[in-house]
Amino acid sequence: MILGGFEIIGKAYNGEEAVSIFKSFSVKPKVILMDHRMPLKNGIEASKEILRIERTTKIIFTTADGSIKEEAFAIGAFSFLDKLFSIEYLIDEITRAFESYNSSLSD
Amino acid sequence: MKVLIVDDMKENLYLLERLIKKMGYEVVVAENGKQALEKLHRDNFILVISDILMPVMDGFQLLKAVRSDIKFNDVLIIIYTASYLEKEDEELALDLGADRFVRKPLDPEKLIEIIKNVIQTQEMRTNDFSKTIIKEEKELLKLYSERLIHKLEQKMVDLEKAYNRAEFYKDLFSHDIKNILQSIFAGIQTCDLQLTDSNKLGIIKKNLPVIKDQLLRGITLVSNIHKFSKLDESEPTLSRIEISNILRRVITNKKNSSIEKKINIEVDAFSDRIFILANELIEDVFENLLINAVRYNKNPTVEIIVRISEMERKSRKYSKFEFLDNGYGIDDSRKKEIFQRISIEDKSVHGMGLGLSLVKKIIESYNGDIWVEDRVKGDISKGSNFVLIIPDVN
Repeated sequence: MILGGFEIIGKAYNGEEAVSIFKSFSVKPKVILMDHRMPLKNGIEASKEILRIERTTKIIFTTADGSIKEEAFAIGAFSFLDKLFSIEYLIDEITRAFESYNSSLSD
Repeated sequence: MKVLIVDDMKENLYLLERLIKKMGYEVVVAENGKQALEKLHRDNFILVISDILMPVMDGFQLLKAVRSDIKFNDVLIIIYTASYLEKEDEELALDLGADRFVRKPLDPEKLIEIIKNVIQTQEMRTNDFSKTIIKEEKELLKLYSERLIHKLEQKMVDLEKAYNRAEFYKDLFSHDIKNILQSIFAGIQTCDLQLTDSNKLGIIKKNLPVIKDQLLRGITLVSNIHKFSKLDESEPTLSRIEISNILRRVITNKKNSSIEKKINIEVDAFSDRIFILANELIEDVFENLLINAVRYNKNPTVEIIVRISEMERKSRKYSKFEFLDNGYGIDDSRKKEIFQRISIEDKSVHGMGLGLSLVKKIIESYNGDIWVEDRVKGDISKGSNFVLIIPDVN
C-alpha cells in the first residue's frame, strides 16, 4: 500500500467488524478492499450495509471466491479482482477507485 | 444337493459360491430373478439364496413367482439383501413366502449357521403357501410399490449428498488454493520490487519471472477445473444474461494488458443491452477471443472491433458477435483445425488460456456456433473475423 502512496486507516477480520469500524469513522473511508468468505458476516452482506450507510464508497472485492462476482457487481461493488492479481493491478484499481470517487463528488 | 444363488453383482456371487461349496453343496448361479426362475425349472434345488435389488426381475418378484408355483413348495428361500433393510421390507419378504430374511453384511460363520438352521428345520416348516400368503394380491402389490418408492427416495437423498460433497470439496480446494497462490504471488512481487540490480542478486531476479509463470499456470489450472466441471454437466445451467457489461469489463482489462503494444478495442453493437441464454463461461469466451486477437498480432497497435448484431438462421433468432482484428490471419487450411485441439501454448501465462476448442464447446453448450473468416475475404494479411452466434432469449 505504501508503494501506491495510499494510507490504510482500518483493518477488519470479518464482515461485522468491517461494518462497525466503518460506522465508527466520522470521515468515512473512500475505498475498501473486501474479502468475502469471512466468519460472522460475509463480504457481500457487509458491503450491502456499508453502501447503505454511504452510497459513494468504492468497494473492491479481493476474494478467491469467483462464484460471487456477478452478485458483487449487482450490489454495487466498484471492482472485483480475480485471483491471482498483480500488485500493479491492485494499485491501478485502487487509483481508479479514488479517481472515480473524486469525480463523482464533483457531479 | 444343489443350491441356487441369485445376485446381480459378480463379487457377491463369488463369495457366496465359495462359502456354500465349502459346506459341501453344489452351487448354481443366476444374475437376476428371471434367470433364477429358468434354472429352477430345469433342475432340483433344496435352497435358493437371493438378493432383492436386481435388474429384470427383483427378489420380491422372484419370491412371488416361486411361491405361486406349487412345484417349488419344498424349495427353501433365504433373502440376503444389502439394500432393503427395513422392517417393512422384511415383512413383505416373509409375506411373500421367504423362509428367512437376512441383512448384509453378515459374518460368514453366522450365515452358515442360518443356512444350516433353515435346512435342518425344513420338516417343521409349512409347505403350503396358499395359506401363508394371507394378504391379497392387490395388497402385496401395493406394499411392493411402496418399498420400491421408498428405496428410490433413499437413493435420491444419497445421490444428492454425494454430489454436494463433491461440489463442496471442489469449491474448497479451488478457493483455498487460490488464496495460497495469491499470497505466494504477492510475496514474490514484493521481493522483486525490493531487489536492486546488483550481480549477487541478479540470479534471484532472473528466477522470479519463472516462478511467477508457474504460479499463473497453477491458477489457470484451478480455474479450468471449475470450468471443465461445468462443461461436463449434461444439462448446462443457462440463464438470461445481459452481456454488454461483461464485455465492457473484459475489454477494459484487455486494453491495459500489454506493455509492448497499444490495444484499441471498439464495440459496435445494435443495442446497449443484449440478452442471451448462457452462463458465466461467456466471460471466458470473450476473454479468450480477445487474448488471441492480441497475441497473434505483430503490429505495434492492435486494432480490434467487436461487432454485435442480430441474425436469423433456420427461423431462429441469434445474437451475432464478430471479433475483427488486424492480426496476421489464419490460413484456410487451418480455419477448422484451430477449434479442434487444445494446444499446449494455450495453457499460458496470459491468464485464461482455455483454448479455442473449449470456447467452441462452451458455445455449443449454448446451442450456438463459432467459426473464423478472413476479415477481408481472400486476404489473410488483413486479419481475422471470429464469428460467434448465440440464441436470443425470447
